[in-house]
Amino acid sequence: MYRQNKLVAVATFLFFAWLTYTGWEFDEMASYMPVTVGVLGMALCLCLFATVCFKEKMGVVVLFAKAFPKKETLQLILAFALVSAYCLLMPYVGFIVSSTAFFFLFSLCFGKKEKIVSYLVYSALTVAVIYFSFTLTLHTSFPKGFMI
Amino acid sequence: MENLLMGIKLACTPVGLICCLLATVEGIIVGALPGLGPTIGMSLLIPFTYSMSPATALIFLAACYCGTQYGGSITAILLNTPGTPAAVATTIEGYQMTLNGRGGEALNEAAVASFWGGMVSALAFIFLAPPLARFSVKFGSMENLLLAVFGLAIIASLSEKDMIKGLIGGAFGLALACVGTDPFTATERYTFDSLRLMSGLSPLPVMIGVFSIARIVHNIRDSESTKLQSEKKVEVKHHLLKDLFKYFITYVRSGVIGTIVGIIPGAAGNVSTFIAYDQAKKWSKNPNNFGHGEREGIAATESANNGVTGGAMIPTMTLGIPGSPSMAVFMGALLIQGLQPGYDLFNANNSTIIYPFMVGLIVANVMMLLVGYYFSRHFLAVLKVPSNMLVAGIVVLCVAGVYASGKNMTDIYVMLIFSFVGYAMERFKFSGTPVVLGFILGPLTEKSLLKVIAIYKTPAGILGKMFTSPICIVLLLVIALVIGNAARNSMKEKNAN
Repeated sequence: MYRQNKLVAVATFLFFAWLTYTGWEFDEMASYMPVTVGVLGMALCLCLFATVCFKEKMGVVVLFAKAFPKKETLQLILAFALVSAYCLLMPYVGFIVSSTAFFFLFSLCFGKKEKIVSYLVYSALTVAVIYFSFTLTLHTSFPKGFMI
Repeated sequence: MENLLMGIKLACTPVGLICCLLATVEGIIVGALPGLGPTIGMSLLIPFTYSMSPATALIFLAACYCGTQYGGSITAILLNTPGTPAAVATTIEGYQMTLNGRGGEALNEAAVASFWGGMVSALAFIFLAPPLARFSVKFGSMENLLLAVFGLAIIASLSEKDMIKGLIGGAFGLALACVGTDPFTATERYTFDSLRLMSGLSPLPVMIGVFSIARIVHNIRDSESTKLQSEKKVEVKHHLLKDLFKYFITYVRSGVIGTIVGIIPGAAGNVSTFIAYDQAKKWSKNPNNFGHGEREGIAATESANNGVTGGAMIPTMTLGIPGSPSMAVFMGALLIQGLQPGYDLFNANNSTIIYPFMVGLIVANVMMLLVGYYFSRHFLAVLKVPSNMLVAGIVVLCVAGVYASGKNMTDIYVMLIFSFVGYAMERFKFSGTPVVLGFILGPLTEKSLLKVIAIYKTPAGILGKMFTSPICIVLLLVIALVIGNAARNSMKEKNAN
């Protein structure tokens, strides 16, 4: 737990160090904010690191999420993979197809497998309602992909 | 008084009331849709105002504005997905109440609190508009900088459990605000050669990524412990008179906070909800219940949220300074109607416009209360949907909302990236709220900081101004008080553990 918190402190420190370093390259006025925020962030990360070290020495329990059981980790990866695929494929296959496929697959993966027909119907209906509400009221032109 | 009576007569016509009702309903629906907000809601209605009288048109748009401010709380409470940026603070208590089977109670509280916030700000508009508008003009760059710092100091107060992680989150939010062209020299910063990023990161994809996608996908992971209570029956009881005065002091205090923040041009209205929440926690008899579904928390955030409405209209209508994008749309509607913002608008020549509008603000809030209070239970139907389908539906709705707000794929990719960031933050026990607060306050902080440096040049000049301006001194004292109090509470909590 302590090591993981230290790693977080180091990773965020590196981010703020990068922000400070790149901030110096801008014009004087443009560099104030990134450099100030970067230095402030680095100082805070050092404080976090020192606090974790102190807590480790004193034997205080530090806040950190417990490792997930294997099944839950797989579920999480699957959920994020589905969301990522949906967002990345949308410009190519269009909003309607990608949204319907995402809704159906997501419902199927995290619900009861025997409800496959209802998932199909609900995914089509939900996407249709969202599509028409946005196109009719907001005149949004969603990506059409190969459906042009 | 005669003018106000004339205003009542003109505002309460059947056409005026129907327009007000329709705009309120439209506002609530648009506000409830994640990714949309008052700016889009009002923009949609502007074409309908062409054929209306100026007074009706202004009431129509004001009713929509009030409705959207309230509507954002519905999805914030039921789905942990703030419909509008201003409803972010409502998720803290609202969603906890929903998880505890008190979603209906939370919605009722949101409607009542929004009504009171709206009423406080409407009364402020009616009686205090000219003097308060004059006062807001006194806010120079130094005062704005300290106001932004005050907003950032709230982060310390909100992260008492782990202040360092909260402050790191705030710094990360400020770093995100650096993306885009710098406000003074137009230098490109962290745009990675993307044209879209030149105007900076849009707040919506960031907020939806951090708050919505990451959290709802997280809900799938531990669906047993924190599932969206789809099976739980939620009881809704209507006792309007009893509810109306339940947290009267909190309503008024938060409404005043919202109104004051709304008046200050450029000050992020969303900050008012966090300030009000913070104050409610401090003054509450049950501060330990905050964060676990405390109704008073919603009373504070929603009252402050709608308190911004009338306050934001003061500089817009009296000085022609729109303090927010939605007010810029509102000012555009004024110009379309041939009305010039400024003191002329309050002249006797325009009394048939401005006084009905003042009364219309009150009527709009009453409409919002009735629609929100008595029909909010219908929104609870969403809880009966199985959580897997609900999450899938929310993701599609968020993607559609984000796309509709910017009409480009970059916003979708930004949302996707921030959903990963949001999840990582949740995993490592960083709160998303300081990130969003830092991100919202970033532009105001930077603009004010650069102006202060350009005007006062030397540290001595800056400090000289800081300690000679009465407003600055008051703000500095408030900042010191907030940080000192947060540090004391943090130490207390550590000692208790």
